[in-house]
Amino acid sequence: MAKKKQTISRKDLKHIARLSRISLTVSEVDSYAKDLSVVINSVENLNEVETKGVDVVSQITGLKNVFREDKPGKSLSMEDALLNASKQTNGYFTIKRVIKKK
Amino acid sequence: MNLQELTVEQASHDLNNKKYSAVELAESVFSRIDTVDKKVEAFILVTKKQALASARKYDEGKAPDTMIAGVPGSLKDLFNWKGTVTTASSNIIKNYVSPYNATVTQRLIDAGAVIAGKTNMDAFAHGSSTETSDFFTTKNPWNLGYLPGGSSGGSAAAVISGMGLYSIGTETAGSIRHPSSWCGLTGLKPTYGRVSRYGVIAMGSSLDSPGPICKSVVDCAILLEVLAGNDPKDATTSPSKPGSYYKDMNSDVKGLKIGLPRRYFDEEQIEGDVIKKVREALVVLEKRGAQIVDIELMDPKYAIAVYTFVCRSEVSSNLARFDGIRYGHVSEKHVESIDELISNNRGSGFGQEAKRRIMTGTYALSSGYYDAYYKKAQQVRNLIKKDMEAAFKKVDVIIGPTTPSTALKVGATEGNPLFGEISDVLVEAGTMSGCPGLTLPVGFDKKDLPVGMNVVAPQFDEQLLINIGSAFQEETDWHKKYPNL
Repeated sequence: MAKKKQTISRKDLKHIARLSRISLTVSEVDSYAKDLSVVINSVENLNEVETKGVDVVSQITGLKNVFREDKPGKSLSMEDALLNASKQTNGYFTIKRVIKKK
Repeated sequence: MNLQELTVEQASHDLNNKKYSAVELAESVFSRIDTVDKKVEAFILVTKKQALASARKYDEGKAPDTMIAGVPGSLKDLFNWKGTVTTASSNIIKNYVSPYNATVTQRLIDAGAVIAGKTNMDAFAHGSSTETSDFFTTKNPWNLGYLPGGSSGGSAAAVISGMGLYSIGTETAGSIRHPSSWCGLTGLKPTYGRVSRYGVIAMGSSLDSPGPICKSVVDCAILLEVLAGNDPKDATTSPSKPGSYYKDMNSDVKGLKIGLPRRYFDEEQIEGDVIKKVREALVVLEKRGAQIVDIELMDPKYAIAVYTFVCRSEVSSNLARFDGIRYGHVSEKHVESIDELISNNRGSGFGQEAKRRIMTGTYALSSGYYDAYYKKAQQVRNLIKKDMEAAFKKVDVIIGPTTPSTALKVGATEGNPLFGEISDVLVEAGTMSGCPGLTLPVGFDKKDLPVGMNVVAPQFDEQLLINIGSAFQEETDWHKKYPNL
């Protein structure tokens, strides 16, 4: 089986960046496309391993259904939760306007 | 007081016998940091006020009666510690003040430990060098032109330099053991789920394992007792009771079966000096009655691929929370939509390596590629796990070199987008299987750089690792060596 070298195109990378919610400059798109191509090609060897009928690994130490009592408990105070907000207004996190005024 | 010689065990006895006070001990550590850290650059944050307050409490007789009480150490800067800045060495949260304590932090505080500061790391733990910290590169105290390893490089550099007597790091694949090996220290990666991940800035949720970096196995046992245990705040912690690792230490290794996987001693992939020192160390264990058994494990190259996909996929999910809305970096640019806002915050806040890893993970999980990459990786992971389990039916532990080479020069990671995963090739199969591992210093190469030997046990058998390590450290002095700074 011929090993096809995978290249991540600019278009692919832009799509991935969009999914990741990471804005990139034009030159960054090229550089990351190259990096990702190197990574993907280095790990293509997984195809050599036969996995027909193999289950995906479940929780690695065999834990299942770990529950707790459905009782409310202590949580962060409002003050602590807002501790690192860049801006706050009346106990709300404040961000830049992102909804257009009608 | 020679802080590079002083172990946690010895300091605990000295404090008990009032040879010196906890405040004096802490002051020595801070004095050491003042002298040496400008060369080594291990610390991001030095917490003198908090440390001296804990030390004073010990001296006033108000600390609990534990072996770690009054003893100063440090935390890798991804453990939340209420009131301190916790950055994961990333610009995106460089001003983030922890509003709560990680369970690891809380356990150390409750045990009376004295925390001297937060140490440098590869940003978000994405690396094996500490060179991809967004802030600065920590140097290897054995040779300042070399890297300390990573991602817990700051922790390792701090301990070997005497800037504290222990540090707590984390590992997904090598991040405790790799820098421990490169810095001549003893590092223990517990079984996944043995120590709580609550409050740890996450990298890979199915892999992250907090653990100690110390100057001896005995010290690691003491620290593991403080850290281990079930945590209702982390549903992936084991319900099983942890051992009394220090009390139950038993260095009798007669009849112990040590598995050596042929592929982990490949002279083409691993430095000759490294293999030589590990083989010499194995002779020491044989003299104590251990038996060497040759075993075959899957080619470790597949573990690299599995780890790359699984870990980076989990990273893409875990780092989605860094959007600048509730905390973290906010971009100055004008935006018209929430997407733009978040994308700008992340684009300008994250470093290169974080972006690379997030995007690799996103790609592996995306529609059209999920089956070929992530699902395939999780299937092969299952094969790796079964491969390890089969090996443990024949042997008690598996031993190999910890890293393929000794420390590399500062700058070595440039231009290599897979550096981290390749450096950790010898530990990835073990961590993918959830197994615990211990690295022991076993000598030096021709450049006078430390060599580490990795011992891997079945899940939850940390006691076995500690026992083997204590047998080895009864016979050798490598763990007592330290660099002059």
